[in-house]
Amino acid sequence: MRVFRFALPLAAALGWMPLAASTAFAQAPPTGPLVLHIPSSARTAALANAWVAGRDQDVIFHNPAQLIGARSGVDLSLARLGPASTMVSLGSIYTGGKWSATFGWGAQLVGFNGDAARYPYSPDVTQAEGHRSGTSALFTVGGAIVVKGFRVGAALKYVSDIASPAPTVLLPVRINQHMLLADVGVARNLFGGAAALAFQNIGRHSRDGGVTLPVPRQLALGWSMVRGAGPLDLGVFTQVAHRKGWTAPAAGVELGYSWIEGYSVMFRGGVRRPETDTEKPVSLGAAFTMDRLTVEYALRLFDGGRSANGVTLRWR
Amino acid sequence: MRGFPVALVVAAVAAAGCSQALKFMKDDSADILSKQTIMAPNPADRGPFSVKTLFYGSGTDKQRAEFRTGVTIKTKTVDVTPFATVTGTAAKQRLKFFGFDLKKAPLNGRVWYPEGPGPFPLALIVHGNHNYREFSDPGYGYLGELLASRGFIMVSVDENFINGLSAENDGRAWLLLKHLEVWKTFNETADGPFFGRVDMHNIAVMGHSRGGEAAATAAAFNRLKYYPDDFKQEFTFNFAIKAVVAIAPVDGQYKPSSVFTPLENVNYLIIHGSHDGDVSTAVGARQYERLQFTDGQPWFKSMVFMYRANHGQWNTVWENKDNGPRSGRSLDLRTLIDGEAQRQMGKVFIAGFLEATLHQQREYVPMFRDHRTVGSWLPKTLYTTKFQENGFKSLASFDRDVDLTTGSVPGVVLSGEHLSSWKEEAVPLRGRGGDNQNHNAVTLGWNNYFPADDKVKDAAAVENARAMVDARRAGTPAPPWKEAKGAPAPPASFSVSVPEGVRTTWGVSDRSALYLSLAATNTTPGPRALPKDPNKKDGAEDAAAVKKPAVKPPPRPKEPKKPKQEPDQTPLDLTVELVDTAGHVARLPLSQFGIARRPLDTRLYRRAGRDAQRFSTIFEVIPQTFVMPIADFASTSSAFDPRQIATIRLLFDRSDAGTIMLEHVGLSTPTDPAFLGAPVR
Repeated sequence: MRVFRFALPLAAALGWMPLAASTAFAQAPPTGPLVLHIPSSARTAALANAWVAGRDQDVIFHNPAQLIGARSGVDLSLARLGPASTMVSLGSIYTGGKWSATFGWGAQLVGFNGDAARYPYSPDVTQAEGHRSGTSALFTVGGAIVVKGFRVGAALKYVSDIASPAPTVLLPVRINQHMLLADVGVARNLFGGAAALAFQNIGRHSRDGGVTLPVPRQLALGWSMVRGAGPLDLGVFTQVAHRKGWTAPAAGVELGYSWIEGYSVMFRGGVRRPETDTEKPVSLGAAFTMDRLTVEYALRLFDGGRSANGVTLRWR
Repeated sequence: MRGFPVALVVAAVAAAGCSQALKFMKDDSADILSKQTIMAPNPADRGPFSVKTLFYGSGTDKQRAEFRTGVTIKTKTVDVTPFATVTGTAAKQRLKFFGFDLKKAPLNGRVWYPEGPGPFPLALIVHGNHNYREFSDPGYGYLGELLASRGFIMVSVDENFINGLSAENDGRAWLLLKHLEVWKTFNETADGPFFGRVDMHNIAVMGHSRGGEAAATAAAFNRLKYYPDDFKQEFTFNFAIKAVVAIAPVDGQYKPSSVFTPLENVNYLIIHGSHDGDVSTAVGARQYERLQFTDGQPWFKSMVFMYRANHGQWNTVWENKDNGPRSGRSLDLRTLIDGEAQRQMGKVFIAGFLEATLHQQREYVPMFRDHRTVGSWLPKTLYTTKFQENGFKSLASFDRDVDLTTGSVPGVVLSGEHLSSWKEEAVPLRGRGGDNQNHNAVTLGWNNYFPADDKVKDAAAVENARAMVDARRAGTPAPPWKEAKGAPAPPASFSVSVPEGVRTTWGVSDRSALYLSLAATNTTPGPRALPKDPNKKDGAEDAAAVKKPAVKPPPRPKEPKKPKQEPDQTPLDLTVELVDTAGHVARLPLSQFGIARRPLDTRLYRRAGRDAQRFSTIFEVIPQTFVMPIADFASTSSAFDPRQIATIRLLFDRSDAGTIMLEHVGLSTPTDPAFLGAPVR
């Protein structure tokens, strides 16, 4: 009976995804900056980036409302995204006082080698070796409070794409895009988990030197839950993100086992509609926790046997 | 990245090594529990009555048929919201789950009762806090069966609907009293099954965990006219609550008028386990200390501390899940005594307590003074017993002032000789944060040896080194480290004077008893300082040292490294001396009246170091009460006159060095001879 109660919302959530995806295009329309398309940590990468109703420090990049109840600490993530691309992110959470006020900040930097013709870059650029080295950066601060049982949050983001042309290129177009964006979100407990809605990347499209950078404004709706399943710890994370002309469902499941207080192993898998044709829909991951330190690993697969590997160190 | 799985395996292996080894105190139960002196039948054995069961309740419970359609007697609902509230989503969830809210709280009880005309004493028991979806009240069925067979009506009260709330413990207590009102009605209802069969003059309230505090609070509310926190709630209970039982109780979760619940004139029993993973500090000891006897009736109070007992195993639903369903991840469940054995202890003491206080089977009273009197009935583990009865009068409880030399009554003088430490301080609780048992004790330390000189130290070093080498060769554990002892010194002592006024007023005689409540600690003071040479002026030695020729003495051989050893678990002993006004002395060893064990080391958690992290000490200081009949002393000296006791002296001559916390020194001339009955010789 207990299993049935759990299975019903899970099945509903998973069943909802293909329906939501059916009207979408094959590939996401190009938007930028690049950093907004890259998972912020190994955990979110492994769980298909379905993190609008997620937990812990990563939520600062996905839904500021979920800052409430996030465990304080510091996350440091490092990822090898491709042959010439790397990502580093850092985030932290602080709990305040009144109305359960919680604050967080995060920074994410992606280094890559791109190609001028393809701007704005799709996430595929991380699998390529172009002629211009670029950096895509994100800095965000946010806060959340509880109002009548709803968690409400907002975050301000500074994002940029900077790419330097290779010396051999004639008539280079310099890419130097900067913008301020905002996220707002709301969440509340529902069906034994958390349901959340976030409107992300609110801001103007950017135009600079003949280059237009449409921002990926998106509405994301999701539900997640974490609970015991016999001796295991089970987490389910779902999300549907909708942008103009693009709807992407995603879901991730994690199964953990702790044999003694403070130590656990976790295995993760995620399925999502990838933004590009080259990325496989499946992602995998694992984590190991020793007291306050958690080491997480994620693997995303691409066509041609290519992969992106990420590691996150989480300190509580 | 390829190294990640390898790192995972290495870390997992390392983590497995982080669990701590199983360690227990040396088990002395084969000796200590072999001294049974109570010859009455074991109260944990079934009695002569056949047992019947029924349910009463408001019939509104959605979850359980027994409290919906299965109730034999229907009761009215009560509004518990003046005492316990829940709002918002939690309230809605509970309404959906139970089918009622706290304004219409049911009075549900599962009853075990003896077949027969009665009247039978009534004992209510209430569970404590737990997941409200896992009902706690069936967990005391083992007690219900036993008590009903022995001629008690036992009711396990359903308060699951206020589980999971906070600041609700006054509500738990009030509900207990509302159940007593119901029972008064049952007893007076001519066509009911309990008409005239309930002995409303002999009532016990019992509780577990939060319910343990609620039971004491109910006994306090029972005599009040108003709810202490709101006069609009008038109380008209006044039931004949003769006994209160608290199983691993909390304390101070409800504070009437912002003070700890005062309690008086009731028999009181606490049982608590050393390995309690929920109420991990024995805070019930505070309620024990607060209970006062003021009306001259033969009340008594007792606290029994059981080694290796946990929180939940006194309830068959809770069992070994003190930290919730996944207790095994954090708590070392291997350390726990078997659940059946723990309940056996509960049956012995709870049934014995109700027999002694409600059935007036006073032959069971001595078991609450000294657990050794029922040693053969108890599971084999270590116990500590605290005890006081209404005749006890304190000479020194170390709470009144900051003068080390004054006792609890005017004229009592405290003095010490050759002590290494002498200070008054709060009896601690092991939890972090400086919480304590809210009363003081005097800490007394001694060492009856002067420092060893170099020659003795060298000899001891050689002996220790040799013993270590031999042990290593033989592959045996390192032998105990022998400390180099100097010359023996006169034993230290601590004295309490008994002024003439006290002797006369209290009627001290050979029917009286001396009470000592003390706990041995792990602290061992260093050798006693050498006495100063009276012929030398201050600083003379230093001056002489300066004038000595600068010839270095030959280097002393390096002492072998002292191996890390477990704390000494040898119980402490001392001699108790009574001195009369004529100077005649009667003396007996403390060990004749009980055992002064070192603190019971308790490792609750699986992770090595977790206990030290979460507690200030890995033991709880629970003093043992030693009740010493003065007639026993008189029998050792014909010249000693018990009516003329002038001094009580603790002579620290039976253990070379040690430290005790002395909590109470007092005298009693018991109103009931049962208090001194069944002595262990």
